[in-house]
Amino acid sequence: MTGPISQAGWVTGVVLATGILVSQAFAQEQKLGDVPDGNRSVPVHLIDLLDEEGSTIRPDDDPLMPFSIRETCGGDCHDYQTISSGWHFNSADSAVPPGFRGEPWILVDRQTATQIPLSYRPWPGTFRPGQVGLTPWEFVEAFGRHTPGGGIGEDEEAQSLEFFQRWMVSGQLETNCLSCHDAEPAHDQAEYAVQIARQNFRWAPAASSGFAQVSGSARQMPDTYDIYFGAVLDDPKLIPPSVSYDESRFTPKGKVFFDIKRDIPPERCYFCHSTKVLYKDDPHRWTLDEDVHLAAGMTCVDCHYNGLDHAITRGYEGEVQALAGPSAAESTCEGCHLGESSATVPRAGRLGAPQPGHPGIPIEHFEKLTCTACHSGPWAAPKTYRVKTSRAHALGTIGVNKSDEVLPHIMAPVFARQVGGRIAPHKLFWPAFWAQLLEDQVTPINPDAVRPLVVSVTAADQPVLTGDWQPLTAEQIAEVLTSLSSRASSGQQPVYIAGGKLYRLADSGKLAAEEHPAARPYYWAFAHDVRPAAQSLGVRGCRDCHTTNAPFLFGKVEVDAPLAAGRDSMKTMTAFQDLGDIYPWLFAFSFVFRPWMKAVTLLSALVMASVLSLCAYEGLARVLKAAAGAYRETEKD
Amino acid sequence: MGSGKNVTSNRKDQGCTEIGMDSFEKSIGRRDFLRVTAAAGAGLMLSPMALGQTGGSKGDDLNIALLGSGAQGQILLAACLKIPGIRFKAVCDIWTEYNQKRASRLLKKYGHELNTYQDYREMLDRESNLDAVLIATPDFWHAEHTVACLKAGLHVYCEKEMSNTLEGARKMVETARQTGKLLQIGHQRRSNPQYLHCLKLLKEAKILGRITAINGQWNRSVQPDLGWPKKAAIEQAILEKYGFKSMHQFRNWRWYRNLGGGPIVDLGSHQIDIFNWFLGATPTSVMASGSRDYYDKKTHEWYDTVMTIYEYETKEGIVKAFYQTIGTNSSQGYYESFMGEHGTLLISESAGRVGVYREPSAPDWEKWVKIGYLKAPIEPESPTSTGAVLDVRETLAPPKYDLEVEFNDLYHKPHLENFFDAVRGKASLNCPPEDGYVTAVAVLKVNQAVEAGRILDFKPGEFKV
Repeated sequence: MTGPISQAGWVTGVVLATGILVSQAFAQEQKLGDVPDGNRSVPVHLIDLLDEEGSTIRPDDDPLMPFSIRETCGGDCHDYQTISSGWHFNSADSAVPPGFRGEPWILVDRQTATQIPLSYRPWPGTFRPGQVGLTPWEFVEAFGRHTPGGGIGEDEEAQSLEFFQRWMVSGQLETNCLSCHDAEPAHDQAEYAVQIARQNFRWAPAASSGFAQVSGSARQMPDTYDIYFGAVLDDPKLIPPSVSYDESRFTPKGKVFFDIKRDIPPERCYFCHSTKVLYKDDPHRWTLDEDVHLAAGMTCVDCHYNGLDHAITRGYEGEVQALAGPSAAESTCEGCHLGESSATVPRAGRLGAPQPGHPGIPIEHFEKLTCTACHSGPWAAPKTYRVKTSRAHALGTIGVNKSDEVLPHIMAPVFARQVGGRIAPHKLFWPAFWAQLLEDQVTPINPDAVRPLVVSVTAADQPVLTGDWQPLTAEQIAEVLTSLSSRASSGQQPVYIAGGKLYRLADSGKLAAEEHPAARPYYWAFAHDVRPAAQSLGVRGCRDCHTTNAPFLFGKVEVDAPLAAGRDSMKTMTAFQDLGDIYPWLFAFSFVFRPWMKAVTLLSALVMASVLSLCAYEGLARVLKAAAGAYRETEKD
Repeated sequence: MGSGKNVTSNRKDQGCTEIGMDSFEKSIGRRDFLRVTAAAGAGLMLSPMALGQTGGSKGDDLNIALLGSGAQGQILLAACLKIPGIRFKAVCDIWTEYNQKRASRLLKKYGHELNTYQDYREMLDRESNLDAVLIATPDFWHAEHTVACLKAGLHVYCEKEMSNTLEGARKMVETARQTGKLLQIGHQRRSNPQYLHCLKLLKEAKILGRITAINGQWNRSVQPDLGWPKKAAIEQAILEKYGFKSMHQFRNWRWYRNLGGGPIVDLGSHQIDIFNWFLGATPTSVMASGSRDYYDKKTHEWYDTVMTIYEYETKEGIVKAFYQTIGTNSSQGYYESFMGEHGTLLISESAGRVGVYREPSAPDWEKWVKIGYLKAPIEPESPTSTGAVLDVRETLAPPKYDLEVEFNDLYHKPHLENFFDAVRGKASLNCPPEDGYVTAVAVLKVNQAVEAGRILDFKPGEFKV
């Protein structure tokens, strides 16, 4: 008996030990702040500041280091790696489904008449930054201002060789939890943008925190600069980056309070997600309403929510295919207002969402239109508005050009058909860039490479305060293309793309324009601001959309280009809806007669009723008459 | 190249008054200068960093090690990354958690397959395929490191100051001679195309006439002590093993006696080396004053401010040379100014300050402009009236002639290239140990003069080994 008992004990021991090890491993993976205990109050974040080496920062340290988000937030409390895989940080991860195409980064260069849609996500119509010659470091320098860091900002594998030393000088742009979660009133994302411009990547989160000041510029430092190697002292103009802290923010134990919110304040989202509509008669700011959801007291993350993985829901219908789990389906307009049909328990009316009635609206509308088509964006006008966005126009940053004409020129709302067939409101712009054409494939030329040529031809070396296009003539384009031809590799042909056309030199040497997929406009759906139901399309009846000049179908979309000859060119909205030209017009025209048709129908019905009544009366009379005759015959008998 | 081969310097044993003349004699002509400049510029624009070339060696490739990968070591490393045919095989630094990690991370990114070491002896024992070593350790280690590397059959590029003691410096010279290995001292201005061109202006064109005075300085703002990441501090036992009492001393060794020589040695030796080189002479006496009352004396044992006057006896006559280094104010930065009867040459490693100023009584410089030694001065625009009354006794500002040679590359790159070319047998060293020794003698005497509080004379044979 001893043997089996011993064996059983041994097995039990192994199982127990394994269980303990597994539970310990699990406990190690689940960090302190990632395992909520159910208390719904917000934990107080009174914590140590840690630098990127993991050392605790005290305000009298010399040198003082900027705190590292990776270490400070991700050290003991939060799973930095998991958080950093979220949507806002994973654009360069090829394993992440790109989903519906969204707003691209737009590389703008006025002097070369360039605006190129860029994205690390494979959205059709965009180019990867590397295709335009932008290394990850240059991309972060150009666009990191409107990101919460992370992603390529700290992906060493993606860091190109020629800029690797600059990465070491600037530091990495870590995932910045504070960009979104900081409710500190002094939090300053504009200061974050300043630090990006100074190449102070590792200092940017501290600079924006509201309790640290950063001076100096990594941009001026040599490739060999290191904060621990000492300052560059021989040129007083070269000030190395450094940080100082508000010492009063440190407790006697050296801890610092961060006003961290799980429910992110909309102000944090707005820095990167604002849209300014350039109304012709600019209304006062205080007369413009917010999105109805925010006006009702909701926050952005009430709908665009996520878990620890920060896989935030974008909220478009069909996102469930790109984003596993029920959250994607529930966070759409329909998910909240109508409920998700697959849900096992009722989920409609989340956050008090009213259930819409849509009385009298034919069912086809819900099959062919997204909710946002009628409810989102500025009320459609005969001609699209130009809009500015945070990311495209660096809104919110210091020294931004506030001119209405500044590039890029983005138009909205453009009612275009989406993948999946529904029509939705979009923002749109027309790519413009110099490129090489090889076997029908277009590769943009970096503006830096073509600038001297274009400037020499157009004399575009003077700043234009409005930031508008550098006007180009056909002759100037031809001249630049001729110069580029002499430098082109075998088989390549230089081209210029703008306003929906591809321009190249014909055999005759003259400029020829043609259609090309790369010249098509880039547009992406938007959903905000949502207007109240009383301001939705159709609230005044069918004629909100169904007339021959209704903006929804027949609004004019500006074909924007630097070519002086084509600047007033327009396209009709139907061109983006795959509806053709005749049918929509005839259908809309039918609404001219529809009120008459009701009268005709009523009249016809009356006539028919009269005739029928007359016939019935006549028949009845005859029946009665016949009956009366038969009765008299009986009486005679 | 794989294994080191003996390449002896062709340098003759020269008298004191001929210091550096071989450098001048082999200095390149104007067109070559311009080519150097153009190539340097083009390299900066077009060539990517030289990769580690791990896929097999080429005949001229050199396997090197970096001994000391702190601030200066990484400046050398960065320059080497732009020089083709250089393969780093080892990095050695006692600060494994920071300096060593940073350097090896950078080199591995560039494709260099290398080993890392904390102790140089282990590196020399294990690395059998090295051609040369770059030494950028604290001054007090230079002699021991250099001697060991030379004896291990390796060519050495050693940062200045070649040693903090003359005994150590002498041993370095002797070992280089005994082993037949090359030893380049890191006075990098000796390979700088602009400095080489200025030497030509002085020696060939004699553009300044008789030089009577020199003025040089390197002033720096107040600087905090260097810190370190607390988590990456070196263990006390390791620090003591390598001669440091504390992490603070390790990081700030330049301020400590017996470890470094203070600002006059760190900064001054670069420029006093130029005094000797351009004059082709060694000083006959030195007087100096220094102070150390600004920084904490406990942690700043050397003088933060030093003012010194050398006297030279040249063939043309006496030259007085003033040099100052101020550690509390950066006014006017750093430069060397040679003043002669016909003009003034102002030069600095910082290229924007270089110029030659003609005295009103000097012969016409037009011929130097015509043959491309100088650029014609830009005529100043007629000054607008300031309301000031012209005082005819006032000396007008002399016209400034710019050099035809520009240099916009990394400061240390030409000197390293010269060293590597010498190792390949294609050049002779621009700063062999004998030249470095002369500068060490001249500079280390300044600290002695401060302490003595009187004029100290140099003995005739003092500059020779």
